[in-house]
Amino acid sequence: MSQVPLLEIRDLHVAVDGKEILKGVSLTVHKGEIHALMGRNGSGKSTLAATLMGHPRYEVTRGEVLFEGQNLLEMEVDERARAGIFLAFQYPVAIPGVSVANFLRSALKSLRGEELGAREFRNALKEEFKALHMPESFGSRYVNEGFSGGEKKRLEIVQMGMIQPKLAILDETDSGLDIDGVRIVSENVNRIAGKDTGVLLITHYQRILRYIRPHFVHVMVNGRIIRSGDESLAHELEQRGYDWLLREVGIPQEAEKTLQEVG
Amino acid sequence: MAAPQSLLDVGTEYQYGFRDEIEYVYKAEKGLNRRVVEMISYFKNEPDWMREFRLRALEIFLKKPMPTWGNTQLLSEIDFDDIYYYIKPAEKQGRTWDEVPETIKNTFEKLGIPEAERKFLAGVSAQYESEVVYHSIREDLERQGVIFMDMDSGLREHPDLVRRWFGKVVPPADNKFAALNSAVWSGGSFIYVPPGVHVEIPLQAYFRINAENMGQFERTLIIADEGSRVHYIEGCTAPIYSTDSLHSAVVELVALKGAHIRYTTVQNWSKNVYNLVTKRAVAYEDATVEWVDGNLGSKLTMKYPSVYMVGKGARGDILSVAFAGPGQHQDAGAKMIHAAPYTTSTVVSKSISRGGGRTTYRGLVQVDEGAVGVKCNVRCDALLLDELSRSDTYPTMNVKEDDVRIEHEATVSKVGEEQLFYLMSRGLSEQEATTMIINGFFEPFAKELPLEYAVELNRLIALEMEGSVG
Amino acid sequence: MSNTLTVHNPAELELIQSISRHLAEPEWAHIYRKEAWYRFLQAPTPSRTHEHWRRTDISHLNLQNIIPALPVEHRAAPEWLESLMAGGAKRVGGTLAFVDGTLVHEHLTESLRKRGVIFTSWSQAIQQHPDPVRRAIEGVDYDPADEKFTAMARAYATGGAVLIVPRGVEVTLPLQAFFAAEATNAVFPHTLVVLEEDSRVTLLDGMLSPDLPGRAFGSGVADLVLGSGSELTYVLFQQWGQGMEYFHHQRAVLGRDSHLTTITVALGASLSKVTIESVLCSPGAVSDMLGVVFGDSKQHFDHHTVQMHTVGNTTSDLLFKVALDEQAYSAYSGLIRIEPGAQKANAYQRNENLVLSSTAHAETLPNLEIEANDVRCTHGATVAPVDVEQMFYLMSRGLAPRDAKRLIVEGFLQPVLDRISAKSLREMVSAKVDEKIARRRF
Repeated sequence: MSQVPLLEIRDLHVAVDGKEILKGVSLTVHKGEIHALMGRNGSGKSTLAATLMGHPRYEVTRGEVLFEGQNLLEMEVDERARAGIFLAFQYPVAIPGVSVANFLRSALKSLRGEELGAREFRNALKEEFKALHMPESFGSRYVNEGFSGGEKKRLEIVQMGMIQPKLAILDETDSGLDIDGVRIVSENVNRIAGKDTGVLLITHYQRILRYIRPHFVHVMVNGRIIRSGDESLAHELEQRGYDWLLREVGIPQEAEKTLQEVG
Repeated sequence: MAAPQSLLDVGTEYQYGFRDEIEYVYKAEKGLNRRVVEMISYFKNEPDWMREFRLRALEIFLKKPMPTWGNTQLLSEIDFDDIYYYIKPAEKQGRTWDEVPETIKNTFEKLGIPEAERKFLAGVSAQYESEVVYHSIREDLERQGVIFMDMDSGLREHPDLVRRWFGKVVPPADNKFAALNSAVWSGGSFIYVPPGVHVEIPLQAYFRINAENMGQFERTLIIADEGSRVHYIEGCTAPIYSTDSLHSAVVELVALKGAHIRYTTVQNWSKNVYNLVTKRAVAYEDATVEWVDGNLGSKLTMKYPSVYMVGKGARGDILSVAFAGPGQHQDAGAKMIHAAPYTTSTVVSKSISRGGGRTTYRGLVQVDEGAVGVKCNVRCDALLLDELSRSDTYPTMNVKEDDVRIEHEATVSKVGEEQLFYLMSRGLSEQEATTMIINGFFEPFAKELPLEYAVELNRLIALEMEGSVG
Repeated sequence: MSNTLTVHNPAELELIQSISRHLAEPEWAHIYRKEAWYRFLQAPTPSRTHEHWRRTDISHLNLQNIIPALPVEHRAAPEWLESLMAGGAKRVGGTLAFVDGTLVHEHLTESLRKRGVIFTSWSQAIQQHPDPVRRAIEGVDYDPADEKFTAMARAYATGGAVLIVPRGVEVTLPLQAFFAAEATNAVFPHTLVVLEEDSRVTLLDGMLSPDLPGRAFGSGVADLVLGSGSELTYVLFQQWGQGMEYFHHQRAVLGRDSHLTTITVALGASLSKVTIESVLCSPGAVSDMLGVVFGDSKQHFDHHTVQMHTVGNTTSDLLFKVALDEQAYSAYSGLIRIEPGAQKANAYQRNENLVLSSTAHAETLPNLEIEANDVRCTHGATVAPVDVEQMFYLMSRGLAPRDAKRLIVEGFLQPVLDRISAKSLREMVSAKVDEKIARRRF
């Protein structure tokens, strides 16, 4: 493909508080592609998500990341958002006193460089809430404050719908959702992403992949992608678990366990 | 009274109220003046700088007004002219208990000190009135260069080390009682732990006031050199007299880079002792100082152990426990001064008032300019057991930086009805249930004590609680 | 006491007499004023050795030299005040406005007037409704720590707001009183609120001025008397201009089953020292105290709150939020006091400080004095910078750092402003707060 990739990660090493978590991750995402990143807790999946968004606690010690050919690592968090990256947080923080509507309106103004008409904004927000089966009244509630786990996850997708990013990173958006929630969220991700958006879907359950069908599946263990494949890799993981894969690539299970505990 | 076995007591059934009839080697005149201070210095054959230090401190003491805060009523009742500032009980210090005069030895036997020493201590110091009468330290520690002796000997044998730190952590002008101590100090402990040496089992000092109208002014200096560790425990008792005694100590701790000092106090003076003590530590880079401070006895205690964190990454922890019964006021607390970046501190204060007793938490958390990345957490819990008692909480947080996180939380309540109900539904009487809840309340303190102390603490709480419910 | 005092400067007594003459005060009102003045002369000027005054240095003030301006005829409201009043005019039940101690605007809806609500200036109230005013001021207590200033305010107040709500009357539209300074260098706002049994009202006191060319001085008092079963929401909105040094003492006395909500919003003045006190002296009384401080430049704020439970079965709650930028300083000290015998009193107190610059300075002293045991008293205080995770979240949605910070500061203060239930007042105050935040560059 001669087209410039949407996201290109090359040999990425990341440390948190001086401890290396990612130990050489490479991954390329083109627009319109859905990549699933799977792995157990502590394998480094969320570290990758936070690093791509530019969280100050995550220190890149080696490697590079290009977004549409530009050096992503030099950009501030808000610049990355303006470039078209969206992160659906695994644990969205509460921001007391700031209403969802006020927050989103400020965000859209900043992303587009111009104020959205009040009516246009209201209607768009109303549509997104409806699509995610959330009452409109959530617009006047404070961001994530007093939300249930499922409500927080849905609000992330409401925001994705409002923002229409080029690359959506979904960090365990399926966790904390019941079976209907997973379906509703998935349908909306498919709708919003359409043909042009790249999606990096982080999960350790196979469940959501029934609704959001990935073109590529990657398995992360101990800060590295140890296997990549197509959708069938996910099915295989569901049936056989992770252990066979660890044996196949030669990682002793005990070592993996210890690494998980410290990670 | 049967010979008591323990070091602890919490009040009504005070076991250590007995007194000895004793011939003193020397007893200074009552009252405080230049002559008394010079006489103390002369008796101790001190270097000139110390004599001048004392006289300067006396000037400051005479000039400084009494504190205008705290229990000013009780403070105003102190008659500085009616106190013996120096009493020498014995000719020389013993290295074995056999060398200690019989009467005094019997006293410490009754208090259980020799037994405790055999069981779980690495070194013991016993002070009777103004002087340390017994001192020992395990040989292996001595071989490693650990110094543990009384302060007077420290001044004689390690003059440079003492002169470098003495009065530097707590200058005489700090407060009126620090000035008083600086003028008339006698006894106390001097400890030096060489770099990298870990003293794993505690060193202990025991303080006993016997004479009526006595003032005890011991002075303790602990220097933990780089990367060393030490744990020091002190306990105190006194007889019950109709007139009051004054205990006014100064304790200075120096934790050099990476050092760790833990200082545990089990204060169980009889209820006619004023306990006005200045305790302060300096913690250098990555050093840790822990104060574990239990105040069960005395008439009025005013004591706010502090940690000045002057090196990056230093840490201060204070666990303060107070119990005030009838006629008692425990005015205790903590000061945490964050003068360097990435320093952290925690303060946990727990108090119980009953029978008209009063507990006060008074604390300061200060973050100086430039001290970024500071974290501090303060937690105060007070239980009031009846409608006669009182609890005050006076914290101050003074923050001159933005990248800091300070939290303070305090609660005052009675023993929880739900908890009582739950325990009583399992067959406990109200008194048993209350005692159990109070033991649980003090658990964080008890678990910091050596086992023998902890068991005794629980027993004494049960004793104190007898007949207090219903 | 007053007859043992020697007046050194008869000209000053003449001043008090001339204020009374000017307002045509009856004898009892003149005595009230004169006694306050004697108290003012007798009370020592507080110094920093006094615990309550430790954090505010007033040694540069020469209180004896400060004198009030006398009311003048035909004074008009300045344009900025007119436009402020016009903004919410349709949604308020009544407005009073004083400029430099002179009444410039007075309005009360006809229906409230008919229902017996009195909302007028001090000088008219003492003429037309002497009895309730007299009864109320007879119960006034002087706080020893603040006496120098409260007595001064009572002696020198020329314009003052009096609100009396008769028994059972529920006033749905909020009332507002503005005390503005323009040309004078000394203001003395004075508010008296009396709620008779089972009445209900919301009142905002606005302290306002443009930035002042030199130094100005203000001392105000607010006496709030809540009859049994009454409900009062009282907003103190302070936006004095630069140059003002303002002292204020608010004291509420709560009757049986009454409910007070006080909301203090402090944005202005170079220096301000404010005491807010609720005395819960009848069972069932509930006091909710809220406060917002937003400081920048070299502003100095010193707020002291008192939750005084003199009897049991009373409840008080407090939330005081302080945001500080640049070299601003804030001291918050709060006392919860439970008197002996006040069983089943519950008191809560929380102070949060958001520090936005490394040169800002926050002090917090939440105090408890508890002398009854069947109580539940809790206090908490925090000092912290803007939360890194919140910044990350907002920036990940494209907000520039300064916009993210502005939003977090607004959000930090908003929960207190939300407690102003009257929409027109809430919007006015929120707009002023946001305006000040928006001016910051962060």
